[in-house]
Amino acid sequence: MSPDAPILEVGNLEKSFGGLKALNGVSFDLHPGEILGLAGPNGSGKTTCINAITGVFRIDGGSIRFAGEDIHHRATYRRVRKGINRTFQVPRPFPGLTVHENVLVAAHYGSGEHADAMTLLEDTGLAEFADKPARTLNSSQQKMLGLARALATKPRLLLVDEIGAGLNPEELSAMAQRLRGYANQGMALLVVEHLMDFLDQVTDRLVVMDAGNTLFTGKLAQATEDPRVIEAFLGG
Amino acid sequence: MLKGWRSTAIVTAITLVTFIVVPKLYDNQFLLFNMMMYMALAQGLNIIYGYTGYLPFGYVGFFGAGAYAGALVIIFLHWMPLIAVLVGGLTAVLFGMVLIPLFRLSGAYFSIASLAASEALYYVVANPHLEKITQGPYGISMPQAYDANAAYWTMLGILALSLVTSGIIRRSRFGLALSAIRENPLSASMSGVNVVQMRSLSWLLSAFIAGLAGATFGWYISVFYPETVFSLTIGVFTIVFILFGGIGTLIGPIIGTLILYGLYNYIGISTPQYFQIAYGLLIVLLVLFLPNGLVSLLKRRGVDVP
Ligand SMILES: Nc1ncnc2c1ncn2[C@@H]1O[C@H](COP(=O)(O)OP(=O)(O)O)[C@@H](O)[C@H]1O
Ligand SMILES: [Mg+2]
Repeated sequence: MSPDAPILEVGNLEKSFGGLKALNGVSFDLHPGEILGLAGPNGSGKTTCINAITGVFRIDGGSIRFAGEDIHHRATYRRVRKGINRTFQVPRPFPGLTVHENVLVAAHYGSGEHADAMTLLEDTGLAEFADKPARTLNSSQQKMLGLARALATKPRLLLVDEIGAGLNPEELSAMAQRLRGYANQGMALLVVEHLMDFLDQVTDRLVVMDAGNTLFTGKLAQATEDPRVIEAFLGG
Repeated sequence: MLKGWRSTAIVTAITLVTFIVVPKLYDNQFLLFNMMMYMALAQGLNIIYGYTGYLPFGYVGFFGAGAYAGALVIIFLHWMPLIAVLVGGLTAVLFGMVLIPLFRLSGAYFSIASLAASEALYYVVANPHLEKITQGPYGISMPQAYDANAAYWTMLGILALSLVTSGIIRRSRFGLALSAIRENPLSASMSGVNVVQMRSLSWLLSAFIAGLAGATFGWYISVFYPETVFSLTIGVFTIVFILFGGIGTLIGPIIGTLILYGLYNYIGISTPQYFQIAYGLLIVLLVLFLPNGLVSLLKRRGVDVP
Protein backbone atom coordinates (compact mmCIF):
# COMPACT_ATOMS: atom_id res chain seq x y z
CA MET A 1 0.00 0.00 0.00
CA SER A 2 1.43 3.37 -0.97
CA PRO A 3 1.70 5.98 1.78
CA ASP A 4 -0.97 8.20 0.28
CA ALA A 5 -3.44 5.38 -0.33
CA PRO A 6 -6.75 5.83 1.51
CA ILE A 7 -7.13 3.80 4.70
CA LEU A 8 -10.91 3.71 4.30
CA GLU A 9 -12.83 3.52 1.03
CA VAL A 10 -16.58 3.42 1.26
CA GLY A 11 -18.47 2.92 -1.98
CA ASN A 12 -22.21 3.05 -2.63
CA LEU A 13 -23.27 1.84 0.80
CA GLU A 14 -26.83 0.61 0.97
CA LYS A 15 -28.83 -0.42 4.00
CA SER A 16 -32.57 -0.74 4.51
CA PHE A 17 -34.54 -1.19 7.69
CA GLY A 18 -37.82 -2.69 6.60
CA GLY A 19 -39.08 -0.31 3.92
CA LEU A 20 -36.79 2.54 4.99
CA LYS A 21 -33.62 3.14 2.98
CA ALA A 22 -31.29 4.43 5.67
CA LEU A 23 -28.28 4.35 3.33
CA ASN A 24 -28.79 4.77 -0.36
CA GLY A 25 -25.43 5.02 -2.11
CA VAL A 26 -23.02 6.74 0.26
CA SER A 27 -19.40 7.03 -0.89
CA PHE A 28 -16.27 8.67 0.50
CA ASP A 29 -12.68 7.90 1.39
CA LEU A 30 -10.35 8.82 4.14
CA HIS A 31 -6.54 8.95 4.34
CA PRO A 32 -4.24 8.40 7.31
CA GLY A 33 -3.86 11.60 9.33
CA GLU A 34 -6.96 13.09 7.80
CA ILE A 35 -10.18 14.26 9.44
CA LEU A 36 -13.38 14.09 7.45
CA GLY A 37 -16.51 15.75 8.77
CA LEU A 38 -19.84 14.01 8.23
CA ALA A 39 -22.87 16.25 8.62
CA GLY A 40 -26.53 16.01 7.80
CA PRO A 41 -29.95 16.46 9.37
CA ASN A 42 -31.25 14.07 12.02
CA GLY A 43 -32.15 10.73 10.54
CA SER A 44 -30.05 11.23 7.41
CA GLY A 45 -28.04 8.06 8.09
CA LYS A 46 -24.83 9.27 9.77
CA THR A 47 -24.91 6.81 12.67
CA THR A 48 -26.04 4.05 10.32
CA CYS A 49 -22.92 4.77 8.29
CA ILE A 50 -20.71 4.27 11.36
CA ASN A 51 -22.63 1.11 12.24
CA ALA A 52 -22.03 -0.22 8.74
CA ILE A 53 -18.28 0.48 8.89
CA THR A 54 -17.91 -1.12 12.31
CA GLY A 55 -20.01 -4.15 11.38
CA VAL A 56 -22.90 -3.68 13.81
CA PHE A 57 -24.95 -5.09 10.94
CA ARG A 58 -24.28 -6.32 7.42
CA ILE A 59 -24.79 -3.88 4.57
CA ASP A 60 -27.22 -4.68 1.75
CA GLY A 61 -24.91 -3.39 -0.96
CA GLY A 62 -21.75 -1.44 -1.68
CA SER A 63 -18.21 -1.92 -0.45
CA ILE A 64 -16.11 -1.13 2.59
CA ARG A 65 -12.36 -1.35 2.17
CA PHE A 66 -10.02 -0.83 5.09
CA ALA A 67 -6.26 -0.66 4.49
CA GLY A 68 -6.87 -2.11 1.04
CA GLU A 69 -8.91 -5.08 2.24
CA ASP A 70 -12.60 -5.71 1.73
CA ILE A 71 -14.01 -6.02 5.27
CA HIS A 72 -17.76 -5.87 4.78
CA HIS A 73 -18.25 -9.50 5.81
CA ARG A 74 -15.96 -9.35 8.86
CA ALA A 75 -17.28 -9.59 12.41
CA THR A 76 -17.07 -6.45 14.52
CA TYR A 77 -14.36 -7.71 16.84
CA ARG A 78 -12.15 -8.50 13.85
CA ARG A 79 -12.58 -5.03 12.39
CA VAL A 80 -11.67 -3.65 15.82
CA ARG A 81 -8.52 -5.73 15.96
CA LYS A 82 -7.59 -4.55 12.47
CA GLY A 83 -7.68 -0.98 13.69
CA ILE A 84 -11.19 0.43 13.45
CA ASN A 85 -13.07 1.83 16.40
CA ARG A 86 -15.79 4.31 17.19
CA THR A 87 -17.58 6.18 19.91
CA PHE A 88 -21.32 5.93 20.41
CA GLN A 89 -23.72 8.84 20.06
CA VAL A 90 -25.33 7.63 23.28
CA PRO A 91 -22.48 6.21 25.40
CA ARG A 92 -22.55 2.46 26.00
CA PRO A 93 -20.24 1.78 28.91
CA PHE A 94 -20.12 -1.47 30.89
CA PRO A 95 -22.09 0.11 33.74
CA GLY A 96 -21.32 -2.43 36.46
CA LEU A 97 -17.60 -2.65 35.73
CA THR A 98 -15.18 -0.10 37.10
CA VAL A 99 -13.98 2.71 34.87
CA HIS A 100 -10.56 1.06 34.79
CA GLU A 101 -12.02 -2.33 33.84
CA ASN A 102 -14.03 -0.68 31.05
CA VAL A 103 -10.80 0.34 29.37
CA LEU A 104 -8.89 -2.76 30.41
CA VAL A 105 -11.15 -5.08 28.38
CA ALA A 106 -10.48 -3.09 25.23
CA ALA A 107 -6.77 -2.75 25.99
CA HIS A 108 -6.47 -6.49 26.36
CA TYR A 109 -8.69 -7.77 23.56
CA GLY A 110 -8.68 -4.89 21.09
CA SER A 111 -5.25 -5.22 19.54
CA GLY A 112 -2.07 -7.23 19.72
CA GLU A 113 -0.09 -4.47 21.43
CA HIS A 114 -1.81 -3.86 24.76
CA ALA A 115 -2.43 -0.20 25.51
CA ASP A 116 -1.94 1.00 29.06
CA ALA A 117 -5.42 1.54 30.45
CA MET A 118 -4.30 3.82 33.27
CA THR A 119 -2.42 6.18 30.94
CA LEU A 120 -5.53 6.48 28.80
CA LEU A 121 -7.62 7.30 31.86
CA GLU A 122 -5.17 10.01 32.84
CA ASP A 123 -5.22 11.38 29.32
CA THR A 124 -9.01 11.58 29.28
CA GLY A 125 -9.25 13.03 32.79
CA LEU A 126 -10.87 9.95 34.31
CA ALA A 127 -8.01 8.64 36.44
CA GLU A 128 -9.61 9.73 39.70
CA PHE A 129 -12.69 7.60 38.93
CA ALA A 130 -10.71 4.49 37.98
CA ASP A 131 -12.17 2.29 40.72
CA LYS A 132 -15.73 3.61 40.53
CA PRO A 133 -18.43 1.73 38.61
CA ALA A 134 -18.88 3.33 35.19
CA ARG A 135 -22.55 3.90 35.93
CA THR A 136 -21.60 6.60 38.43
CA LEU A 137 -20.07 8.83 35.72
CA ASN A 138 -22.07 11.75 34.32
CA SER A 139 -22.84 11.81 30.63
CA SER A 140 -19.87 13.86 29.45
CA GLN A 141 -17.54 11.66 31.53
CA GLN A 142 -19.17 8.63 29.92
CA LYS A 143 -18.39 10.11 26.52
CA MET A 144 -14.75 10.46 27.55
CA LEU A 145 -14.79 6.89 28.78
CA GLY A 146 -16.15 5.79 25.40
CA LEU A 147 -13.29 7.63 23.76
CA ALA A 148 -10.71 6.09 26.11
CA ARG A 149 -12.12 2.63 25.44
CA ALA A 150 -11.93 3.15 21.69
CA LEU A 151 -8.35 4.43 21.94
CA ALA A 152 -7.37 1.41 24.02
CA THR A 153 -7.72 -0.74 20.90
CA LYS A 154 -5.11 1.44 19.12
CA PRO A 155 -7.32 2.39 16.19
CA ARG A 156 -5.93 3.64 12.89
CA LEU A 157 -9.43 4.77 12.00
CA LEU A 158 -11.65 6.40 14.60
CA LEU A 159 -15.32 7.13 13.95
CA VAL A 160 -16.66 9.78 16.31
CA ASP A 161 -20.43 10.08 16.65
CA GLU A 162 -21.66 13.49 17.85
CA ILE A 163 -19.19 13.74 20.66
CA GLY A 164 -19.73 17.50 20.80
CA ALA A 165 -23.39 17.36 21.81
CA GLY A 166 -23.86 18.69 25.32
CA LEU A 167 -20.36 20.16 25.64
CA ASN A 168 -19.88 23.85 26.45
CA PRO A 169 -17.79 26.05 24.09
CA GLU A 170 -14.59 25.56 26.07
CA GLU A 171 -15.00 21.80 26.19
CA LEU A 172 -15.81 21.85 22.48
CA SER A 173 -12.58 23.54 21.50
CA ALA A 174 -10.60 21.26 23.84
CA MET A 175 -12.24 18.30 22.12
CA ALA A 176 -11.48 19.73 18.69
CA GLN A 177 -7.85 20.16 19.64
CA ARG A 178 -7.74 16.63 21.01
CA LEU A 179 -9.12 15.16 17.78
CA ARG A 180 -6.67 17.18 15.68
CA GLY A 181 -3.92 15.83 17.91
CA TYR A 182 -4.92 12.26 17.06
CA ALA A 183 -4.89 13.09 13.36
CA ASN A 184 -1.45 14.62 13.68
CA GLN A 185 -0.22 11.27 14.98
CA GLY A 186 -1.48 9.65 11.79
CA MET A 187 -4.93 8.48 12.83
CA ALA A 188 -7.77 8.88 10.32
CA LEU A 189 -10.96 10.30 11.79
CA LEU A 190 -14.55 10.48 10.63
CA VAL A 191 -16.25 13.10 12.75
CA VAL A 192 -20.02 12.99 12.68
CA GLU A 193 -21.46 16.21 13.96
CA HIS A 194 -24.16 18.67 13.26
CA LEU A 195 -22.53 21.51 15.10
CA MET A 196 -20.91 23.34 12.16
CA ASP A 197 -18.77 25.51 14.47
CA PHE A 198 -17.24 22.42 15.96
CA LEU A 199 -16.62 20.85 12.55
CA ASP A 200 -15.01 24.08 11.44
CA GLN A 201 -12.49 23.79 14.27
CA VAL A 202 -11.69 20.21 13.37
CA THR A 203 -11.48 20.01 9.61
CA ASP A 204 -12.09 21.71 6.32
CA ARG A 205 -13.22 18.60 4.44
CA LEU A 206 -16.84 17.65 4.68
CA VAL A 207 -19.42 15.17 3.47
CA VAL A 208 -23.05 16.14 3.86
CA MET A 209 -25.69 13.43 3.85
CA ASP A 210 -29.39 13.68 3.34
CA ALA A 211 -31.88 10.82 3.41
CA GLY A 212 -29.18 8.20 2.98
CA ASN A 213 -27.43 9.94 0.08
CA THR A 214 -24.20 11.90 -0.17
CA LEU A 215 -25.43 15.38 -0.93
CA PHE A 216 -22.13 17.21 -0.93
CA THR A 217 -18.43 16.44 -0.72
CA GLY A 218 -15.86 19.20 -0.51
CA LYS A 219 -14.69 22.22 1.45
CA LEU A 220 -16.70 23.11 4.51
CA ALA A 221 -16.77 26.79 3.51
CA GLN A 222 -18.45 25.86 0.22
CA ALA A 223 -20.95 23.57 1.86
CA THR A 224 -22.54 26.40 3.80
CA GLU A 225 -23.18 28.20 0.53
CA ASP A 226 -24.47 25.20 -1.38
CA PRO A 227 -28.23 25.62 -1.90
CA ARG A 228 -28.92 21.86 -1.63
CA VAL A 229 -27.12 21.73 1.71
CA ILE A 230 -28.97 24.78 2.99
CA GLU A 231 -32.25 23.28 1.92
CA ALA A 232 -31.51 19.91 3.51
CA PHE A 233 -30.70 21.52 6.83
CA LEU A 234 -33.58 23.99 6.80
CA GLY A 235 -36.04 21.54 5.29
CA GLY A 236 -34.89 18.73 7.62
CA MET B 1 -11.36 -8.02 39.90
CA LEU B 2 -7.89 -9.07 38.83
CA LYS B 3 -6.67 -8.98 42.40
CA GLY B 4 -7.83 -11.25 45.19
CA TRP B 5 -6.24 -14.53 44.14
CA ARG B 6 -5.41 -15.24 47.75
CA SER B 7 -8.95 -15.03 49.05
CA THR B 8 -10.07 -17.17 46.12
CA ALA B 9 -7.57 -19.86 47.05
CA ILE B 10 -8.54 -19.69 50.72
CA VAL B 11 -12.26 -20.05 50.04
CA THR B 12 -11.60 -23.01 47.76
CA ALA B 13 -9.33 -24.71 50.28
CA ILE B 14 -11.69 -24.24 53.23
CA THR B 15 -14.62 -25.64 51.27
CA LEU B 16 -12.74 -28.72 50.15
CA VAL B 17 -11.17 -29.43 53.52
CA THR B 18 -14.60 -29.21 55.11
CA PHE B 19 -15.89 -32.04 52.92
CA ILE B 20 -12.80 -34.11 53.70
CA VAL B 21 -13.08 -33.69 57.47
CA VAL B 22 -16.82 -33.63 58.14
CA PRO B 23 -17.54 -37.24 57.00
CA LYS B 24 -15.34 -38.37 59.89
CA LEU B 25 -17.60 -36.56 62.38
CA TYR B 26 -21.00 -36.86 60.79
CA ASP B 27 -22.35 -39.98 59.17
CA ASN B 28 -25.01 -38.75 56.74
CA GLN B 29 -22.78 -39.18 53.71
CA PHE B 30 -25.61 -38.76 51.22
CA LEU B 31 -26.46 -35.33 52.57
CA LEU B 32 -22.83 -34.25 52.32
CA PHE B 33 -22.63 -35.73 48.84
CA ASN B 34 -25.70 -33.77 47.77
CA MET B 35 -24.33 -30.63 49.36
CA MET B 36 -21.13 -30.95 47.31
CA MET B 37 -23.17 -31.73 44.23
CA TYR B 38 -25.29 -28.60 44.61
CA MET B 39 -22.23 -26.50 45.27
CA ALA B 40 -20.63 -27.80 42.08
CA LEU B 41 -23.85 -27.26 40.11
CA ALA B 42 -24.23 -23.79 41.58
CA GLN B 43 -20.68 -22.94 40.55
CA GLY B 44 -21.29 -24.40 37.09
CA LEU B 45 -24.44 -22.33 36.65
CA ASN B 46 -22.52 -19.34 37.94
CA ILE B 47 -20.05 -19.69 35.07
CA ILE B 48 -22.77 -19.12 32.51
CA TYR B 49 -25.32 -17.06 34.43
CA GLY B 50 -23.15 -15.17 36.89
CA TYR B 51 -20.55 -14.09 34.39
CA THR B 52 -22.43 -13.75 31.10
CA GLY B 53 -25.99 -13.08 32.33
CA TYR B 54 -27.72 -15.92 30.47
CA LEU B 55 -29.90 -17.96 32.84
CA PRO B 56 -30.72 -21.45 31.53
CA PHE B 57 -33.84 -22.71 33.35
CA GLY B 58 -33.07 -26.08 31.81
CA TYR B 59 -29.59 -26.38 33.31
CA VAL B 60 -30.65 -29.70 34.85
CA GLY B 61 -30.76 -31.10 31.28
CA PHE B 62 -26.96 -31.31 31.33
CA PHE B 63 -27.11 -33.09 34.66
CA GLY B 64 -29.60 -35.64 33.33
CA ALA B 65 -27.64 -36.08 30.11
CA GLY B 66 -24.52 -36.79 32.13
CA ALA B 67 -26.30 -39.22 34.46
CA TYR B 68 -27.69 -41.24 31.56
CA ALA B 69 -24.57 -41.20 29.41
CA GLY B 70 -22.49 -42.34 32.37
CA ALA B 71 -24.92 -45.10 33.30
CA LEU B 72 -25.26 -46.38 29.74
CA VAL B 73 -21.53 -46.82 29.20
CA ILE B 74 -21.30 -48.63 32.54
CA ILE B 75 -24.20 -50.93 31.70
CA PHE B 76 -23.51 -51.64 28.03
CA LEU B 77 -19.77 -51.16 27.68
CA HIS B 78 -18.78 -52.09 31.23
CA TRP B 79 -16.54 -49.05 31.44
CA MET B 80 -14.99 -47.99 34.71
CA PRO B 81 -17.22 -45.56 36.62
CA LEU B 82 -14.53 -42.87 36.58
CA ILE B 83 -14.35 -42.98 32.79
CA ALA B 84 -18.14 -43.04 32.70
CA VAL B 85 -18.18 -39.81 34.69
CA LEU B 86 -15.95 -38.20 32.07
CA VAL B 87 -18.25 -39.51 29.34
CA GLY B 88 -21.14 -37.91 31.23
CA GLY B 89 -19.33 -34.55 31.20
CA LEU B 90 -18.50 -34.80 27.51
CA THR B 91 -22.04 -35.80 26.59
CA ALA B 92 -23.31 -32.70 28.33
CA VAL B 93 -20.80 -30.65 26.33
CA LEU B 94 -22.14 -32.20 23.15
CA PHE B 95 -25.69 -31.36 24.20
CA GLY B 96 -24.45 -27.84 24.98
CA MET B 97 -22.99 -27.50 21.48
CA VAL B 98 -26.30 -28.45 19.93
CA LEU B 99 -27.94 -25.70 21.98
CA ILE B 100 -25.50 -22.90 21.11
CA PRO B 101 -27.96 -21.37 18.59
CA LEU B 102 -30.21 -20.59 21.57
CA PHE B 103 -27.92 -17.65 22.29
CA ARG B 104 -29.60 -15.83 19.43
CA LEU B 105 -32.55 -15.52 21.79
CA SER B 106 -32.42 -12.89 24.45
CA GLY B 107 -33.28 -12.90 28.14
CA ALA B 108 -36.36 -14.84 29.11
CA TYR B 109 -36.64 -16.50 25.69
CA PHE B 110 -33.25 -18.08 26.13
CA SER B 111 -34.17 -19.27 29.63
CA ILE B 112 -37.41 -20.86 28.49
CA ALA B 113 -35.95 -22.40 25.35
CA SER B 114 -33.25 -24.11 27.40
CA LEU B 115 -35.97 -25.49 29.69
CA ALA B 116 -37.83 -26.81 26.65
CA ALA B 117 -34.64 -28.47 25.43
CA SER B 118 -34.12 -30.14 28.79
CA GLU B 119 -37.72 -31.36 28.84
CA ALA B 120 -37.36 -32.66 25.30
CA LEU B 121 -34.32 -34.67 26.30
CA TYR B 122 -36.22 -35.99 29.30
CA TYR B 123 -39.06 -37.22 27.07
CA VAL B 124 -36.63 -38.90 24.73
CA VAL B 125 -34.91 -40.70 27.58
CA ALA B 126 -38.19 -41.68 29.25
CA ASN B 127 -39.78 -42.86 26.02
CA PRO B 128 -40.96 -46.49 26.44
CA HIS B 129 -39.94 -47.21 22.82
CA LEU B 130 -36.33 -46.74 23.85
CA GLU B 131 -36.64 -49.26 26.65
CA LYS B 132 -33.90 -51.44 25.19
CA ILE B 133 -31.43 -48.58 25.44
CA THR B 134 -32.46 -46.21 28.22
CA GLN B 135 -34.88 -48.55 30.05
CA GLY B 136 -37.42 -45.78 29.33
CA PRO B 137 -39.63 -44.88 32.28
CA TYR B 138 -38.46 -47.94 34.25
CA GLY B 139 -35.19 -46.25 34.99
CA ILE B 140 -31.59 -47.28 35.40
CA SER B 141 -30.34 -49.95 37.72
CA MET B 142 -26.63 -50.69 37.96
CA PRO B 143 -25.95 -52.28 41.36
CA GLN B 144 -22.69 -53.72 39.96
CA ALA B 145 -21.20 -50.19 39.90
CA TYR B 146 -22.35 -49.15 43.38
CA ASP B 147 -19.50 -47.65 45.39
CA ALA B 148 -20.69 -44.73 47.49
CA ASN B 149 -17.27 -43.88 48.87
CA ALA B 150 -15.59 -43.72 45.48
CA ALA B 151 -18.47 -41.62 44.15
CA TYR B 152 -18.17 -39.32 47.17
CA TRP B 153 -14.50 -38.59 46.50
CA THR B 154 -15.19 -38.18 42.81
CA MET B 155 -17.79 -35.56 43.62
CA LEU B 156 -15.23 -33.83 45.81
CA GLY B 157 -12.94 -33.72 42.77
CA ILE B 158 -15.74 -32.22 40.67
CA LEU B 159 -16.43 -29.65 43.34
CA ALA B 160 -12.73 -28.76 43.35
CA LEU B 161 -12.75 -28.47 39.57
CA SER B 162 -15.83 -26.24 39.60
CA LEU B 163 -14.41 -23.97 42.31
CA VAL B 164 -11.04 -23.64 40.63
CA THR B 165 -12.61 -23.00 37.23
CA SER B 166 -15.03 -20.43 38.58
CA GLY B 167 -12.32 -18.81 40.73
CA ILE B 168 -9.93 -18.53 37.81
CA ILE B 169 -12.62 -17.12 35.55
CA ARG B 170 -13.58 -14.56 38.16
CA ARG B 171 -10.03 -13.27 38.49
CA SER B 172 -8.89 -13.52 34.88
CA ARG B 173 -9.14 -11.51 31.68
CA PHE B 174 -11.49 -14.19 30.39
CA GLY B 175 -13.85 -13.44 33.26
CA LEU B 176 -13.51 -9.74 32.58
CA ALA B 177 -14.51 -10.34 28.96
CA LEU B 178 -17.50 -12.42 30.08
CA SER B 179 -18.60 -9.64 32.43
CA ALA B 180 -18.26 -7.16 29.59
CA ILE B 181 -20.53 -9.36 27.47
CA ARG B 182 -23.06 -9.46 30.29
CA GLU B 183 -22.97 -5.69 30.67
CA ASN B 184 -23.19 -4.80 26.99
CA PRO B 185 -22.52 -7.28 24.19
CA LEU B 186 -22.17 -4.65 21.47
CA SER B 187 -19.62 -2.70 23.48
CA ALA B 188 -17.82 -5.94 24.24
CA SER B 189 -17.36 -6.71 20.55
CA MET B 190 -16.37 -3.09 19.99
CA SER B 191 -13.64 -3.77 22.57
CA GLY B 192 -12.35 -6.61 20.44
CA VAL B 193 -14.01 -9.42 22.39
CA ASN B 194 -15.14 -12.39 20.30
CA VAL B 195 -18.54 -12.54 21.96
CA VAL B 196 -19.78 -15.73 20.30
CA GLN B 197 -16.63 -17.70 21.12
CA MET B 198 -16.31 -16.53 24.72
CA ARG B 199 -19.95 -17.09 25.51
CA SER B 200 -19.90 -20.56 23.95
CA LEU B 201 -16.80 -21.46 25.89
CA SER B 202 -18.36 -20.53 29.22
CA TRP B 203 -21.56 -22.34 28.24
CA LEU B 204 -19.69 -25.55 27.47
CA LEU B 205 -17.62 -25.34 30.66
CA SER B 206 -20.81 -24.91 32.59
CA ALA B 207 -22.41 -27.88 30.79
CA PHE B 208 -19.32 -30.02 31.43
CA ILE B 209 -19.52 -29.49 35.18
CA ALA B 210 -23.23 -30.36 35.30
CA GLY B 211 -22.62 -33.46 33.17
CA LEU B 212 -19.84 -34.68 35.46
CA ALA B 213 -22.00 -34.05 38.50
CA GLY B 214 -24.96 -35.88 36.94
CA ALA B 215 -22.91 -38.95 36.07
CA THR B 216 -21.41 -39.06 39.55
CA PHE B 217 -24.84 -38.69 41.13
CA GLY B 218 -26.13 -41.59 39.02
CA TRP B 219 -23.16 -43.67 40.08
CA TYR B 220 -23.69 -42.85 43.76
CA ILE B 221 -27.34 -43.84 43.85
CA SER B 222 -26.96 -46.45 41.05
CA VAL B 223 -30.75 -46.82 40.75
CA PHE B 224 -32.69 -43.91 39.30
CA TYR B 225 -35.56 -42.86 37.04
CA PRO B 226 -35.64 -40.23 34.29
CA GLU B 227 -37.54 -37.86 36.59
CA THR B 228 -34.86 -38.25 39.27
CA VAL B 229 -32.10 -36.76 37.16
CA PHE B 230 -34.16 -34.38 35.00
CA SER B 231 -36.01 -33.12 38.06
CA LEU B 232 -37.21 -29.56 38.06
CA THR B 233 -36.35 -29.43 41.75
CA ILE B 234 -32.65 -29.80 41.02
CA GLY B 235 -32.89 -26.92 38.53
CA VAL B 236 -34.90 -24.68 40.84
CA PHE B 237 -32.65 -25.41 43.81
CA THR B 238 -29.49 -24.61 41.90
CA ILE B 239 -30.90 -21.33 40.66
CA VAL B 240 -32.20 -20.25 44.05
CA PHE B 241 -28.94 -21.19 45.78
CA ILE B 242 -26.82 -19.00 43.53
CA LEU B 243 -29.30 -16.13 43.50
CA PHE B 244 -29.52 -16.22 47.27
CA GLY B 245 -25.78 -16.28 47.83
CA GLY B 246 -24.84 -13.94 45.03
CA ILE B 247 -24.13 -14.52 41.37
CA GLY B 248 -20.82 -13.67 39.76
CA THR B 249 -18.81 -14.42 42.89
CA LEU B 250 -17.06 -17.55 44.10
CA ILE B 251 -18.33 -17.49 47.65
CA GLY B 252 -21.97 -16.57 46.90
CA PRO B 253 -23.00 -19.96 45.50
CA ILE B 254 -21.19 -21.71 48.35
CA ILE B 255 -22.97 -19.71 51.03
CA GLY B 256 -26.31 -19.93 49.24
CA THR B 257 -26.11 -23.71 49.00
CA LEU B 258 -24.90 -24.11 52.56
CA ILE B 259 -27.75 -22.08 54.02
CA LEU B 260 -30.67 -23.05 51.80
CA TYR B 261 -29.78 -26.69 51.28
CA GLY B 262 -29.01 -26.96 54.97
CA LEU B 263 -32.39 -25.45 55.79
CA TYR B 264 -34.12 -27.80 53.38
CA ASN B 265 -32.56 -30.81 55.06
CA TYR B 266 -33.22 -29.53 58.53
CA ILE B 267 -36.93 -28.84 58.16
CA GLY B 268 -38.01 -29.60 54.62
CA ILE B 269 -37.08 -33.16 53.84
CA SER B 270 -40.47 -34.51 54.94
CA THR B 271 -42.42 -31.93 52.95
CA PRO B 272 -40.32 -31.31 49.84
CA GLN B 273 -43.24 -30.04 47.78
CA TYR B 274 -43.59 -26.96 50.03
CA PHE B 275 -39.93 -26.22 49.57
CA GLN B 276 -40.23 -26.24 45.83
CA ILE B 277 -42.96 -23.62 46.14
CA ALA B 278 -41.16 -21.65 48.83
CA TYR B 279 -37.91 -21.61 46.88
CA GLY B 280 -39.73 -20.72 43.67
CA LEU B 281 -41.19 -17.71 45.47
CA LEU B 282 -37.80 -16.90 46.91
CA ILE B 283 -36.38 -16.68 43.38
CA VAL B 284 -39.00 -14.08 42.49
CA LEU B 285 -38.34 -12.07 45.65
CA LEU B 286 -34.58 -12.19 45.18
CA VAL B 287 -34.76 -11.08 41.56
CA LEU B 288 -36.96 -8.17 42.61
CA PHE B 289 -35.28 -7.04 45.82
CA LEU B 290 -31.80 -8.50 46.15
CA PRO B 291 -30.69 -9.42 42.63
CA ASN B 292 -27.06 -9.81 43.64
CA GLY B 293 -27.74 -11.93 46.68
CA LEU B 294 -26.42 -11.94 50.22
CA VAL B 295 -22.85 -11.07 49.32
CA SER B 296 -24.00 -7.84 47.68
CA LEU B 297 -24.73 -6.60 51.20
CA LEU B 298 -21.01 -6.97 51.91
CA LYS B 299 -19.99 -5.51 48.57
CA ARG B 300 -22.03 -2.42 49.35
CA ARG B 301 -19.83 -1.93 52.39
CA GLY B 302 -16.79 -2.01 50.16
CA VAL B 303 -15.67 -5.56 50.96
CA ASP B 304 -13.91 -7.22 48.03
CA VAL B 305 -15.89 -10.47 48.12
CA PRO B 306 -14.06 -13.43 46.61
N1 LIG C 1 -31.53 -0.42 13.87
C1 LIG C 1 -32.44 0.33 13.19
N2 LIG C 1 -33.66 -0.18 12.94
C2 LIG C 1 -34.57 0.52 12.26
N3 LIG C 1 -34.37 1.76 11.79
C3 LIG C 1 -33.18 2.34 12.01
C4 LIG C 1 -32.15 1.65 12.74
N4 LIG C 1 -31.07 2.46 12.80
C5 LIG C 1 -31.41 3.59 12.15
N5 LIG C 1 -32.67 3.52 11.68
C6 LIG C 1 -33.34 4.56 10.88
O1 LIG C 1 -32.47 4.95 9.84
C7 LIG C 1 -32.50 6.33 9.64
C8 LIG C 1 -31.13 6.92 9.81
O2 LIG C 1 -30.81 6.89 11.19
P1 LIG C 1 -29.42 7.38 11.76
O3 LIG C 1 -28.32 6.78 10.99
O4 LIG C 1 -29.41 7.12 13.21
O5 LIG C 1 -29.47 8.94 11.49
P2 LIG C 1 -28.51 10.09 12.00
O6 LIG C 1 -27.40 9.47 12.80
O7 LIG C 1 -28.03 10.76 10.77
O8 LIG C 1 -29.36 10.99 12.84
C9 LIG C 1 -33.51 6.89 10.63
O9 LIG C 1 -34.76 7.03 9.96
C10 LIG C 1 -33.59 5.82 11.68
O10 LIG C 1 -34.85 5.80 12.30
MG1 LIG D 1 -26.90 9.69 14.77
